[in-house]
Amino acid sequence: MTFDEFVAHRLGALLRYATVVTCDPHLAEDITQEVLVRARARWGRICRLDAPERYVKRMVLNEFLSWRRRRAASVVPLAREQLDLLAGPAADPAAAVDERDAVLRVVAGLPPKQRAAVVLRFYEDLPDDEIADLLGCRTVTVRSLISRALATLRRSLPARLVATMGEQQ
Amino acid sequence: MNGTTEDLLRQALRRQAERAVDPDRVRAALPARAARRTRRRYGSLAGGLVAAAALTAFAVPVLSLDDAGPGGGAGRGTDGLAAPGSPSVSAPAAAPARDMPDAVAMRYKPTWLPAGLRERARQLAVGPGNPYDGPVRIWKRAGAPAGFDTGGSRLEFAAIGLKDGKDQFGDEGTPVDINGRPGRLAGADSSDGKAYVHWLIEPQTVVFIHNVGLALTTDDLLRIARSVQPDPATVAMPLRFGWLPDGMAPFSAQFAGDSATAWQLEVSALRPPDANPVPPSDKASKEGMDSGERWVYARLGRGTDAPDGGESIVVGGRPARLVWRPIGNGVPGEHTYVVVPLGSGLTLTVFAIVPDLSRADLERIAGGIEVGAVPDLSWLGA
Repeated sequence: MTFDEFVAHRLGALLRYATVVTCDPHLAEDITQEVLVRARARWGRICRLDAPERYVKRMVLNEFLSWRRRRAASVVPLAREQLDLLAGPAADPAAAVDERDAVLRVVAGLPPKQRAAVVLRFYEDLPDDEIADLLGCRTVTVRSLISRALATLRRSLPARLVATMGEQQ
Repeated sequence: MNGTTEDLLRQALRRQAERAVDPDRVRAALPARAARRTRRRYGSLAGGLVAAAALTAFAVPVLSLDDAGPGGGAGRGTDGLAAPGSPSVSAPAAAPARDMPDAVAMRYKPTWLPAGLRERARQLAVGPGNPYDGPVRIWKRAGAPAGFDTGGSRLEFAAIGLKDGKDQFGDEGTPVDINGRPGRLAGADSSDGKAYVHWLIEPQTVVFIHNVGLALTTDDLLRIARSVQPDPATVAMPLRFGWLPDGMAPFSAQFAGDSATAWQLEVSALRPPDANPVPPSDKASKEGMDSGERWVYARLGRGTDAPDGGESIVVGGRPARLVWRPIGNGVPGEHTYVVVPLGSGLTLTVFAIVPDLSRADLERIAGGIEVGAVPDLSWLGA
């Protein structure tokens, strides 16, 4: 598969993946472009791998995590779209708050590695060992990251939503 | 958490995925991104602006930092700086001085722009391998803090040659007429504020105009396009590499700044992966953080983005300093700078990643750089 063929067939999926990882479509666009420019420079090697797309997705993940590390001190971690959502029903009482948006708000506020682990588990449906490989940690750490993320979700979701899910504590 | 919650989480993530931007536009913008990336590797490469004196005070018309070493900057006039055989510079086998253009033709220019825009950067191809072979000009809103950052809301204008005999921006979007020539307008109805128009202004030249978040109307964008006229102007190149390691060649240059007194010129040189004799480290390669490319950046301006301190060295007979900092984040290597104060308040900063490049080579590159008279930068504004 040539680089152009890869881009033609997989760019959409790559952008969706990056959008979920970053919780920001524009940051996702930026990271995906950056990664593709780098990938093109060494496509001769990448295309010989068993799973070139997985390798590129790893690059996206690393770029996101390194971007987070570089900018964590100065950047609000949510895109405008998510910030708008944070206003919740009080800001726009006419609009019903979508349950999924409530979940996304919490996901967007997770520490980056927790968020990455959640995305790899619940969006990519990867097993612990593959997530561990992508994140460069042990499987026990993966389980811990996901457990803490889900605990945060439990604590943070609106009571109405928790009640809907039958998880009153 | 039970299955219901996990299902809700999966649904939420899929909903987020639906917010991804249009892949066609991303694909079309890749060539431009590749050009911009030359100055962005490993994060921030440009530092803060410093208070600057007027360009008219620049009093070093032509100098060479190295008139001694093999392949050094002979032939462009010197101010008698170099100390032959400077002990701080290694003397590997000579490589020939690298050709760079003395000036780059602008080709075309818009003769109408909406009020309130100010030109902030000109990016130039000065060697092979650039996705764009012509200049890219960037305007931003007047008053927008830009420094040397060419990202963010902006208007990009490029007049470039065809790639593989074709308009590299494809046929996305709707047909438009640009002074009797067929063009394409894409993104005009997108919600992210990005739109571009492109057309063959002559058989071998494409003009590409990209509005990124400036809130320009489609009429404005088309009016800009229809105002484009030939531009006989050139941009003189006052900085050139006299010596580069084997396999490395000049790549691109960029003038950027907030005004003609607060600017930076950055010239990069690239050794592509195939020409790199040193394999990337396992960790960096595994983590996708080393493309195999090797870069060096020479920056000329009123200040430096290098950290303070470092080791005192001599470069081309001038006092200089060598300063380095770990890249961090588990990535092996060091951001390494050679900082050479020049006359009239100008500073030359040469930057590379060590060990992508050895310190000896970095110092030798710095010593071979030739700096000429700074061109008229009045297009940056007062």
